[in-house]
Amino acid sequence: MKKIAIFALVTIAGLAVFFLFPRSSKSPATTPETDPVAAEEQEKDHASHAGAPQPVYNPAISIVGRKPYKTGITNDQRVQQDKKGRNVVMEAVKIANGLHSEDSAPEEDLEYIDQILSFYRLSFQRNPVAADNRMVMKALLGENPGNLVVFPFDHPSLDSTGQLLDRWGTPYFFHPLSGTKMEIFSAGPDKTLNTPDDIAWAERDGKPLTGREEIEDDQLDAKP
Amino acid sequence: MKPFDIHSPKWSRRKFLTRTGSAGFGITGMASALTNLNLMQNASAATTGMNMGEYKALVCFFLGGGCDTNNLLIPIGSHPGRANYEDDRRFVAVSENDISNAGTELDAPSAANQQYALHPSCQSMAQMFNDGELAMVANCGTLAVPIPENVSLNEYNATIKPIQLFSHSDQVNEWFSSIPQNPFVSGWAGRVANLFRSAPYGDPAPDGQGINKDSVASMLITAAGSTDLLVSPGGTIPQYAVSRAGAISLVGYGTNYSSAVQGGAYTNNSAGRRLQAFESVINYEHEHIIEQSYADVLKSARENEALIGAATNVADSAADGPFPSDNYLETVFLNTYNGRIGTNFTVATQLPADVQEMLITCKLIAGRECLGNTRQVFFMNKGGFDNHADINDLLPGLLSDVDAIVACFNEAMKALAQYDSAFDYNMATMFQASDFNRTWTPNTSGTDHAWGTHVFIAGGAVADANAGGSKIYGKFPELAIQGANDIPGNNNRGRWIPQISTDQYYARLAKWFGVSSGDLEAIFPNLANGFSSPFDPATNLDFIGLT
Repeated sequence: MKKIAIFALVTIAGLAVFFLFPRSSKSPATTPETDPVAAEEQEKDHASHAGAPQPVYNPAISIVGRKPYKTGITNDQRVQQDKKGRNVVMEAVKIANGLHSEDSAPEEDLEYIDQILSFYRLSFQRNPVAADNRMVMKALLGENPGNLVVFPFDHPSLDSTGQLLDRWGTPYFFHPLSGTKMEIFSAGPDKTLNTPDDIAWAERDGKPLTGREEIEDDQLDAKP
Repeated sequence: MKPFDIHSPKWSRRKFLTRTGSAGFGITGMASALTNLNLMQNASAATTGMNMGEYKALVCFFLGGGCDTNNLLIPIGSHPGRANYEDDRRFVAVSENDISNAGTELDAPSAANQQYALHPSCQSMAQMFNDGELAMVANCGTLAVPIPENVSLNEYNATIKPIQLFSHSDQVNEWFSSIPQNPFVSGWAGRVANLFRSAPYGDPAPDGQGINKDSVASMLITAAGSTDLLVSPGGTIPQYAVSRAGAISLVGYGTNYSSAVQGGAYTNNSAGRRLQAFESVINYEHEHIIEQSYADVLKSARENEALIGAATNVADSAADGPFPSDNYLETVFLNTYNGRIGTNFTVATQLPADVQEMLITCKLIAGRECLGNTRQVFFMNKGGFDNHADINDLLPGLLSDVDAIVACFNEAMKALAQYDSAFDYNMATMFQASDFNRTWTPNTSGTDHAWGTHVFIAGGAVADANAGGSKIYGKFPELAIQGANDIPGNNNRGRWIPQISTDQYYARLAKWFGVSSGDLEAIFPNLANGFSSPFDPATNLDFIGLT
């Protein structure tokens, strides 16, 4: 009987300890899955192991939890605010950090950039009001009505004038066809635009467009 | 171009019907027939007795892709912008030597330090300018509100600007709507057509009484496919699309339907029976509103085909028109084009497509009585100006084509005035537009999208207003990076903020065309946003008279 009482007491005490002092866990705000800084570090490590360039985004982000998002989306944990009050779209930044990876084909770079632009369009319904590389990047870096950052300002592929360079070091060529269609061209390995090795994120008649000949055929016109 | 997706959620039924009005006409034009010769006769007779003495036509010549007009209107000599022109434009700058050899200097009656030339490819246009038949308006573009010179960055950022500056399709739409801060609803020419729709126009009708009161066809005609310039509010006035050959006929019935119709009756063969069946079907009455609308469009297209055929016949046949020989206008075009370009073409079908578009436009002006409109707006397009690359190789040829087309139009209108007693040279005015100007500084081999541009206007009405020789209208920009006209904080590429809005530019044309002063703000609502009056001499826009 005494043994049974001791066993019951120990069991109750054990249960009490289990419920009253649960195993410590990280708060949701600091889990690797939701902590942009930690996620960034993880990305960096991964990139480093892969031998790829190491684009990093380290704007000293201060995680403040879920903040109301000025461009209409509220309580979106994918948008975090940095110290300067800018709304950082973490998924877009993550994609940007994967830009020019050795694991991906050059053609995918353009797809990545279009994906980043799509985050901008998701918020503003339109592409940045921009006529060239610098203007596009300014908008993606946060100079827009919602202070929305979809591209890291310290990305290694940004040059000193704010232009986004392709993996061969030539500025991408952005060509705004309409408010929602932005063609993107890389000059390719020869670093000269409008040559056959150009890589294009564009299509004509529903088909992908690449190379100088096709571009000239179409004259890059917008038909009125 | 992607196939049109009728299921796209972006396209409401109303929008579809409005924006595709001309496409409907075009398609059904192909599916319709001008077989009934009586229809042609009726078309010719329909306007008998109408007074065409007040006829006026506006011809929009659109340079698709955004023409680099920084190299169309060029400072020369002691112009203060010449040094910057050479320094900033570098390898795309046109040398004064080339200009001098081409003889495209402009005799603008202005101060000695305001000397200009047109591009060396524009020899005919330069001559027309010096004869007063062509005028230039400097630094014109889409604006919702005026933006002053030397605007600060903060003021600029706070200003309402056109939607999606620098993108092709948005800027094209905004040049056509002239309401650039709002999504596209209608083109300004479509709004004018809507205004003229009820005859007599105006109540009372001080200016345009009787405009288009005898109309038997749309006053909005495009030779370049559907265009938003001619979209009327709600699609009330459909635009009519013509091919380079004029009316579009059914395929499979022989030339002029000779396989299906003979002696005014259907032939007793498969072609005749097919055509008869087709015409019977489209005359059915339908209970379903969409089916009936479709049938109505088909019938309307048949009638318009008849009218267009009759109108072009006036220009082509010496027996039916004013000209001394058959195909006279074609000869005028061939002579002018060959003389300008150095070709040796002998038939009109050898001419480039855009030249043929202008030819059919001129033919329809010659055959205007068949269409019954005392006012008509025509549209034609020349593409290829989006010269991000190889601009030095491409632009001279493009501008040569423009020069030839303008010269062909001018000579054709003079010829028509010579032989048609009811037509005066000053009844048809060409006005030019383009997506935007291009950057002042080049990229590696071309120039990029910018904003304020230079435009030209040509015709007898321009000559009337410029009897002493033409001049540069509007205000020529300061050609300087970060200068008075450059967009502040804009990467130092030289993108001029327009100082003349499209509303001011078009208002002069619309007033000449017959829109009353009281209706101008209905057509161009942004005029009320603080722009100077286009009729104030200080605005310097009197490139055309007001009546």
